Amino acid sequence: MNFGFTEEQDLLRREVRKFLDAQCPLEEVRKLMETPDGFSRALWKQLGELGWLGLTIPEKQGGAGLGWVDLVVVLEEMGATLFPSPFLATTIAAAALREAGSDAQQARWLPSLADSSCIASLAFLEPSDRWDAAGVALAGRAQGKGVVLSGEKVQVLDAPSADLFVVAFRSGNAISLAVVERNAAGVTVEATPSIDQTRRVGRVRFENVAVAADAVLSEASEATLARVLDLATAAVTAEVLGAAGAALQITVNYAKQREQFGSPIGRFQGVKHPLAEMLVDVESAKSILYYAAWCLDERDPDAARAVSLAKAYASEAFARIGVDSVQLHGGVGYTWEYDPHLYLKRSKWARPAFGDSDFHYDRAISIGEQ
Amino acid sequence: MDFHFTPEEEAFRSEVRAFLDENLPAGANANAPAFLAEWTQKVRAKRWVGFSWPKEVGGGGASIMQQVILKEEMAKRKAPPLGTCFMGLAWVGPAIIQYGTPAQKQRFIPDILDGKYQWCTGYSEPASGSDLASLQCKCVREGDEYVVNGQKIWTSIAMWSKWIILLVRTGGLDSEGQAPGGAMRPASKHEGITCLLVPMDTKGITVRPIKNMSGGSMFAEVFFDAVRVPVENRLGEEGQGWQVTVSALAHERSSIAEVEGLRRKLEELKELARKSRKNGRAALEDDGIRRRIARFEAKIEGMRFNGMRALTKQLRGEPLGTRSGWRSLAALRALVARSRNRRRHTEHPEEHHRRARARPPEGLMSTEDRVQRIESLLREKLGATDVQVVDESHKHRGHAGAAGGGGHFRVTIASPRFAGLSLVQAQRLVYEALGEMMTHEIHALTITTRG
Ligand SMILES: Cc1cc2nc3c(=O)[nH]c(=O)nc-3n(C[C@H](O)[C@H](O)[C@H](O)COP(=O)(O)OP(=O)(O)OC[C@H]3O[C@@H](n4cnc5c(N)ncnc54)[C@H](O)[C@@H]3O)c2cc1C
Repeated sequence: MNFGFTEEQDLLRREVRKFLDAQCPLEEVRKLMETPDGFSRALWKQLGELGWLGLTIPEKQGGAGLGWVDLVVVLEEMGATLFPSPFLATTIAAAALREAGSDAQQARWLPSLADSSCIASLAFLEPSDRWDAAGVALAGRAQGKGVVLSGEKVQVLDAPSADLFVVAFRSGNAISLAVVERNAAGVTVEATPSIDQTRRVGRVRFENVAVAADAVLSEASEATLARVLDLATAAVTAEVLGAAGAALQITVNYAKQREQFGSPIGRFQGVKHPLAEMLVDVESAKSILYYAAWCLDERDPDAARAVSLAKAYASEAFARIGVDSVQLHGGVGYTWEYDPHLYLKRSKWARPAFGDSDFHYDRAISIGEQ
Repeated sequence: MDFHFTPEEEAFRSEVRAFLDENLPAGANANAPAFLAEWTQKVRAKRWVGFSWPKEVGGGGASIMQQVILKEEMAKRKAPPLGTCFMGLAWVGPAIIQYGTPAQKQRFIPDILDGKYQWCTGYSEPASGSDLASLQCKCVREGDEYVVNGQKIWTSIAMWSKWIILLVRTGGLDSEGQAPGGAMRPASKHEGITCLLVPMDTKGITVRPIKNMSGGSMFAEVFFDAVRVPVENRLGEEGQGWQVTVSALAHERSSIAEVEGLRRKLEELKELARKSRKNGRAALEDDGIRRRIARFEAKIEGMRFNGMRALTKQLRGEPLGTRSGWRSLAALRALVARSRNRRRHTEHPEEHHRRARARPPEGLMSTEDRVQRIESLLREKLGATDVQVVDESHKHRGHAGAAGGGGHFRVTIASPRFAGLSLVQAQRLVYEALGEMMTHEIHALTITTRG
């Protein structure tokens, strides 16, 4: 048994942290979140050059061919600094292409995702708010060998800047995935105002959008889709836990510094206890997530249950940490200038994203019963 | 145990309901300014603004049960507030009624009832939040005036207020050994605090709004630079400020009406859950959502019945502990913060005593020594690259503050440590660095920081 990161993974973590500390500290994040795009195109390009965008993309498609355990390392660091970029969205879309696309389809799109020339996003959720295949109602009508898509997707990650959507649709009982370019006729994208300004989401409408046969992913099925969602959920959870850990760290630092009643507030049990509980939560959720990522890489049958437990635990813990870190900062926690609110707002986005804790706890129990 | 009301109480409830039927018809736009103005006049005519206050000062002289019923019915119908001077009605007015002179009552109470202007609350300081009683905003008496130097922070609606209720230090642990006027040095930090009522347009007051987490500004920093306040604006006795502000809670505070507001919100939440979708069906049919809503309902009911028990106690004339403030909700948040301070303070007497012992009286330094010490502290602790200290004590010579021994200084300081810090943060650093001198050697400080 060896439940730990390798030296290389630790090195990768250090590299990512150094890069983000230098290129995109929180002051920079604050500037970017006020811009229309919400992220830096220059840094985006660098992510491609550094090879991080291709981290999980197969080597023959221009990537590094690494796994989800490696990805977790990168996403935790990005979460910690609330790094605004379509990295998560593009990585998830790449996973969908890889899981459900033919070799030819992968060769057609993945290289452009790896080298940053294309921003992509998985368009899954609909107004039904269901994170499983049964929630997909967007209709794909057969036309010649291709399909015509009609329907609506919501909360699509980075929709405002995406060049390409991987869209889940239904034809009869079958669920499938289609690749649709943003500027295809009949596609409209509308940014959705989000409580978390460091994360952009949008609504995408499809009105009789014609998709050629070779843009319908050939291996897509309910099973591949479920796996894509598990991969996506694990990725989001990694980011969540990076952010939760950082919010905790900021709060611990403040508690050591701020004095009241003649002593740092961190000496009071009323402050120590919530901090200790936060730490236990973050570390426990991380452990479950690491196991889940390993299962995903190994295609272990326990992956789905582990992913659901990790997401359920992590998003609840982060929600609590977001609130407590504002509270433990006292008055300054209420200000724009101090950082806790940025994390609190991220936690509000993260809680329902890719399934909230009710959904994932239910799912974990049902899987366990099977 | 009996949950029924007396016939008189039921009659009053009907009166309130009839008033609401007439003056708050369904579909009325209760946010429209014209509607609000008219509404305020009508409830004022009914004496429902300051309903708990004595009739002599213009209040409604209501019994506790009447207050509960009125608030409850108003909350049920989502009525606009009874009166617009929020802090005036919540704690400034009650404090004035209890501790004010006849002239003060006459001057302020009618305006609060009529909502002529807003009051704000100047209690918290950068270094004194939970530990409010450690506040340091300096105040010395000079003849018929008080002179105030210092800073307040988190002052809600300071930028729109005409008056501020201010807690300042006229003596006690953090001031000069002796309070002005020859009073003996008080035994605890609670005793050197005095409450002043100050017009916000007084010379020397500067308000700087603070951007809050939603990007707007509701609270501010308020700076006092040699602000002169007539002695007649003192509320209560000198050194009695803590009592004045903490005990001004004599009105109904069972929180039953606030709970009513929460119950209404719960209904709105259910309605929202009925309309929204979750996991493919109405969110209200989702087990998780149902459980969470039920949990809210249990909490709210718990609060409601707690409130009834507290109310029963109050009706029987038993004193309500400050703990009942805990049940208070959003509207009483600031009061809760205050009672919390107090509780914490009493829960940590050891801190309090350690602090008390840590401050021996000492021989004061010469002005030159002070200037040097300020400089060296700032260079040493903040790595200041440039420090200029100007002694301005002469400007204040003859004032009681100067007599007390502490100096007035203007400090201009440049330090790389300030880079990226806000003014508040930078000033906090300066105060921290000079901590040891703030007790006796420095009476007032004007700070300019550069990154
Ligand atoms: C929206 C808003 C409006 C406000 N309006 C006003 C106003 O109008 N007028 C005014 O005077 N003030 C106002 N305040 C200030 C408010 O009363 C203070 O923020 C509060 O007293 C806490 O002080 P602090 O911010 O210095 O936090 P701190 O005292 O530094 O507390 C930081 C954290 O430590 C905890 N803590 C501190 N001591 C202990 C202890 N002994 N044991 C356990 N935990 C402890 C606190 O609970 C908090 O979580 C407002 C604050 C806010 C957020």
